[in-house]
Amino acid sequence: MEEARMLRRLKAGKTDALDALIEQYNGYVCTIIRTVLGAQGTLEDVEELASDVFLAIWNHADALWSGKVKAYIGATARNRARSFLRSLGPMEMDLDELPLASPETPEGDALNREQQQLLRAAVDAMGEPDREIFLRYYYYYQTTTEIAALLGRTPENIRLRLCRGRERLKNHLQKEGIV
Amino acid sequence: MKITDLFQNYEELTIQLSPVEDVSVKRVKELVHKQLPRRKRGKTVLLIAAVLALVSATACAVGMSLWERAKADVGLAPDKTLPEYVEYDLETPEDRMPTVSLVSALWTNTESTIYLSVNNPMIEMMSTRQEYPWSVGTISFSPSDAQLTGCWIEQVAYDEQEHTVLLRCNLSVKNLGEAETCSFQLRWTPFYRVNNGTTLDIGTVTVEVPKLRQFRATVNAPYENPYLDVEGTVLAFDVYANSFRVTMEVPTFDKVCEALGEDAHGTIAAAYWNTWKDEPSDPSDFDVTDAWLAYDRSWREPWDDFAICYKDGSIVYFEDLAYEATPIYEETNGLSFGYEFSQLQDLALLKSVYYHGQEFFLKPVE
Repeated sequence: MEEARMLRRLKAGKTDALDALIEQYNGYVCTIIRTVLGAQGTLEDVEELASDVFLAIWNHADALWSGKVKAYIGATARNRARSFLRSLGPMEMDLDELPLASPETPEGDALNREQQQLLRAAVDAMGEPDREIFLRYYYYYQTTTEIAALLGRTPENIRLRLCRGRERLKNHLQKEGIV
Repeated sequence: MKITDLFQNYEELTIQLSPVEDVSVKRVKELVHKQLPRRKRGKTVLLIAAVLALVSATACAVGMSLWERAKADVGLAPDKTLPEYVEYDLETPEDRMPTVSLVSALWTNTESTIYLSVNNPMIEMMSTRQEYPWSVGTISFSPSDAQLTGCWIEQVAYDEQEHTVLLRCNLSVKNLGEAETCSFQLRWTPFYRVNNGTTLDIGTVTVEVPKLRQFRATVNAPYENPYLDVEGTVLAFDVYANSFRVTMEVPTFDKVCEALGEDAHGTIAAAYWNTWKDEPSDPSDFDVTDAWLAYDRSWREPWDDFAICYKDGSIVYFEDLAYEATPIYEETNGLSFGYEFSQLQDLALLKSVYYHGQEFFLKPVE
């Protein structure tokens, strides 16, 4: 089903559009969830989390815009998988903390649109392969060992680049006044 | 501050991930559909198997008055009033027999939604186990030749504290315009007596029909069928408090078949039905009924360029406004069908209809 048409029907509460959405994006959603869960979580967990993602999309169909569907679904999938990981216990990400105050946002959690653009600019400014390493680690929760194997580097090299990326991000966020 | 938290709304589409295998689309669909609320006419329908389950589930009505419950069910905000929606005081039952009282009523030119309360219901009356326990017996409109064309009664809630059942009664009526009152008999058929024809008359309700409002925008604009290379004309939009109706002039099914030639049925059916299928069917697999249904439905799709404009300058597009595209019948001189609003509209606030790049002003129909 063509995207704009699917969105219209989804917003009108049509379940055939929901089915079309699932058919189109199930693989993508499950891939993100599987990546974030890593070795944790079974295939059933992946499917259940995927169903949570599509239900969330169904319940918030108004937030979907043509051309932004995949990105929105991807972010929802990543966040659902992340919440699931958190529910299993404390997450070990020794490089996760930035020694900065939290961003000033109304809800105290998500960045607004402008702040998101600045964050994106900061990540893009890292250059390759640091940008990819950074996103794989912080966005998709892949381990340094996994990233090293995928990119043909050593885990130490990955950790070094992550430290460098963290510093750059900190400086950029401070400079732009996000934190 | 955690870096991972910064990425909560981050849009990431650049990193290549290893695709996951063995996940089942079917299973995900099943899981999703299992959790979808059952919907009918925009409201949650509770279907509960046992009397006890029903009593406990619908006991949530406690705390909300019958009028509040009815208002929420009809799609009207608690603080809103509309001329089409009238609320009534309850009659006090004289004895311990089941008695019916009028709670509120919504009237439009084609349909009325009447909320009734049944006091002192028998235990079986609280149950939704039966499919059609409630029904309307004799019905009359005065003074009018209005005719009942459809009737559906459904239980909305059971209030345990008040020991009262709230019912929603939908009446579809032709030529309602002149009617001043409507009287009908509420009946109940116990499930264990269906076969011997025993039916209880709960009582007769008389409802005053208020002055009905209807606004129309005369359009006369072309409309391209999204599935077939055929054009129709949108003649008018009629807006009521609960719905709007589109009247179109379209080529007849026979005429389109004639123009398409020998494989017309397959061509028409495939153009519509294959849009909804993962694996398209061969046109020769369809028969004339498939083609007729496809042709009929192909005209009833939501439209890109449609919006309702309010007097305060706000505009609401079709997809944000209409909850359910349920055809409302009628096949005279072309095609006429309607869409229900998810929320009741105050017609006094509406200004015009925007369609196909043009604005058409709504005027009251006398």
